[in-house]
Amino acid sequence: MTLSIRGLVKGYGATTVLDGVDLDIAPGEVHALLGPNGAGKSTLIKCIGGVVTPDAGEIVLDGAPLHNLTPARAFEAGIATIHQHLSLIDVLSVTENLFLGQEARRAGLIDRGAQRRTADELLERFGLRVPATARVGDLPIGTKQLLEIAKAWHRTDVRVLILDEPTASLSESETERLFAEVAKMKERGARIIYTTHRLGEVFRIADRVTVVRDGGVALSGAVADLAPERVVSVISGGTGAPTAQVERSDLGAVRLRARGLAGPRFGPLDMEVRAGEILGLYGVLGSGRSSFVETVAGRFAAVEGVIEVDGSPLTGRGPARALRRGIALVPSDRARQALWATRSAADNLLLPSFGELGRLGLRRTRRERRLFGETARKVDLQPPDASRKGGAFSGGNQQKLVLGRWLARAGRLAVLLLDEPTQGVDVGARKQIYEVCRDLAAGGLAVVFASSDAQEVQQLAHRALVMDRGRVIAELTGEDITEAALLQNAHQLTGVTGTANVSESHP
Amino acid sequence: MTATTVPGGKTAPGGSRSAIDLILRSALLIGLILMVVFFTAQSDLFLTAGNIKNIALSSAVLLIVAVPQALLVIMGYVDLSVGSAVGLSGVVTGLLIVDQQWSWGAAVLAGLAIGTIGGLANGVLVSYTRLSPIIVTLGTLQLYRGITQFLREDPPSDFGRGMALLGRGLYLGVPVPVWIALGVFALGALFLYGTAPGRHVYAIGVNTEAAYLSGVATKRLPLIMYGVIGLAAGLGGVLYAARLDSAPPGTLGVSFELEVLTAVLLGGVAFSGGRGTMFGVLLGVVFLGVLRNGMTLMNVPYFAQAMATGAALVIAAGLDQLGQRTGMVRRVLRRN
Repeated sequence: MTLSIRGLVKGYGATTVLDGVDLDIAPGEVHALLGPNGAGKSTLIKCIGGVVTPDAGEIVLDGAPLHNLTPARAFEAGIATIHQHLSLIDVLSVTENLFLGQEARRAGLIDRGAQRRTADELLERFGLRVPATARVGDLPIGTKQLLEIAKAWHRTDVRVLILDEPTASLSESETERLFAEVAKMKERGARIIYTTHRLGEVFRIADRVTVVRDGGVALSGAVADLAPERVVSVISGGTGAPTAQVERSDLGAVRLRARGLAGPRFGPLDMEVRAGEILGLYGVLGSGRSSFVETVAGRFAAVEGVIEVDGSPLTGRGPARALRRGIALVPSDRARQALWATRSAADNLLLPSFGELGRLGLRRTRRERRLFGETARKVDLQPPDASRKGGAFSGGNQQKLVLGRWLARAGRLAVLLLDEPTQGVDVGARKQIYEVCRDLAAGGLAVVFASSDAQEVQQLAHRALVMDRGRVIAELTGEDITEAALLQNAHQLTGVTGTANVSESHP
Repeated sequence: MTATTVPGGKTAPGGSRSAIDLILRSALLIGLILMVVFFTAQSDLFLTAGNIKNIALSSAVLLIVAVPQALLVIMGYVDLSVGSAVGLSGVVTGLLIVDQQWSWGAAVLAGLAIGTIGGLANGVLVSYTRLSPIIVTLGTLQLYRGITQFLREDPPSDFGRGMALLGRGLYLGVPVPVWIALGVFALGALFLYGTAPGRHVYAIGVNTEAAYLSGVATKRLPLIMYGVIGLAAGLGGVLYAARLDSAPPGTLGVSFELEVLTAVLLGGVAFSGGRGTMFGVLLGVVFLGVLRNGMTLMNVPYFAQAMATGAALVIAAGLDQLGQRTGMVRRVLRRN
């Protein structure tokens, strides 16, 4: 009696994301699903949860094949998925959330007494010491996550619980509580599928582990039989050698310096980036890599410390101030933070440059056209159509528009920051984006990028800092920046090849 | 793997437009032409120089305020207080001339200044607090009306020759307020299409966060625009008072804010921001003016005019939605 998945195939257009995946999970088993970004993990989870319909293959639960799954049907069959973005309503109470859409009724009115009793029972069972009347928005994230699990428990006979990166935004003590609950659920015979980037956790709580890579199962086995080094090497693609190591360029003066800088969820830390250097910040979600970059760019205010550009401190707040000093940011969430989907490619590419291109406050369209043409060629925008709407471009070309926005005024920049520079970007565009970053560095800029993709850090960075929970825990340079070394350092696993110099951050 | 989706089908198609698209997109223009044909057939008076001048004169102040209102709405803001700002500045100008014996020029400048201050007050409240533009300007709509009626109970009137020229004078056969309105329109179009901050208006409306991270002054630009719409409302108040040669505190500019908003939305500006053109706004204003004038000529009672105006707004919005949808449907079909 297991959950078995046989020959699961899923493609989007020309790309195959899942290519014949097999997976078996027994009752009472905690199964960790690992793999690099874009390997097909989340598509696999979505297929099991009914969010995505596979092109071929079979999902069988306790002997009954599940066909034409929708999220609702999967849930009825006992498959509950807890997503990273929780489905709780912040302004409602704990009880109201637990019963949302399935309210207990008496004479047409909500039976508050009955709801309250069930809610108290559930909270008790899940060891949640919060009043049933508490407003969900006031609860810490870890409690909300357990509440979400309790909600699923109360609504269906949970036979498969899927946890998508459950620990990414949890504190250490919250993680412990979650693991305690997972152990209890395991005893009740649930099958738990769990994705994570934190390898250390896997060896603590999982029974079996499957590594998905390039749409297939690269490794599957009992945790007890696997050495951490083996798992790391499979995740990183087997070889430890750098695939496209960049030349170590001659570096110039320090352009960006952080002194004792602390911001939301990171620091205090010190950092120096020189002209011509590409620095990669590697870490899992919640490691502080993005917060650091966004703080330097002025999106968040620093809690303490100083940011210096070319030796003089940055004063004032906000991205406009940072930009005036030559600090530009390519944000991670393109749709929300960087793209004007309904505006033309020209507007998207030239928006920060319109003022500088104009004269006496009026735009000069001939110069705008020329700059657009030049920049579109440099980033290889496809199609190079100035009037096409931003949202109509592919993900990779949207990112080229955002990067091109700063390339077009590179002469006024000192520091280029990129947060997850190639998220949702296809392989071809990815190379182009790396090329532009290298050109900008070669042109004398300091380039800093934050990434959760070890392969990307290996390919692009001259120097890499591994971050965890807001601190720098390792520094790697040149040839030593390998996927394996990055993963090993990020998860603090020992015995893996690759050198690491742990640099003490701020005392 | 993560397909980047565009929110709500807001993307306009990149390629050629189908006939249905074109019709839906030009629905307002087609409606205007049909209306002109209909009114011309119904009334001999409609298509005469005198009547066209009437339409233009009655639409002038509407256009003056609709231009900055459109810019605000494209940015995702709105000013509901313009009706009372019109009243306040008209009455202030009037009472300065009548009660304080100011020269008409100085009084007009004072009226414009009052409007601008009122607008900037809205702007500071909206931009630098987290208050909703609707709440703030709904509040000041009543506040400014209250101040107006506190300043004077009965309407000041008899403003003299200067004001008469401003309100009713002709230059090259065209009324002065119409010249001013055309000037405001030209400035608005030049600003929106010909300057960097004009591009920022769309950037703020479509994606404020992206604009902020790109260094756009996402608070200052709306603040300035509230000042501008205040100035425009002040100008409107002065022109109304000049034309009427009287400034009734209880009625000058009452419900004008709804007219302005109707014209702007009729002209295809999205109330959710991010979308709209100056030409559309002009069309919206002219459409309203022609509709009112034609129905008045045909002796259609006021309540029926109101019904027709309301229906026009809802139909225009519906056709606009349909236009967005067909664009979306076609894109999806083409993709597969």
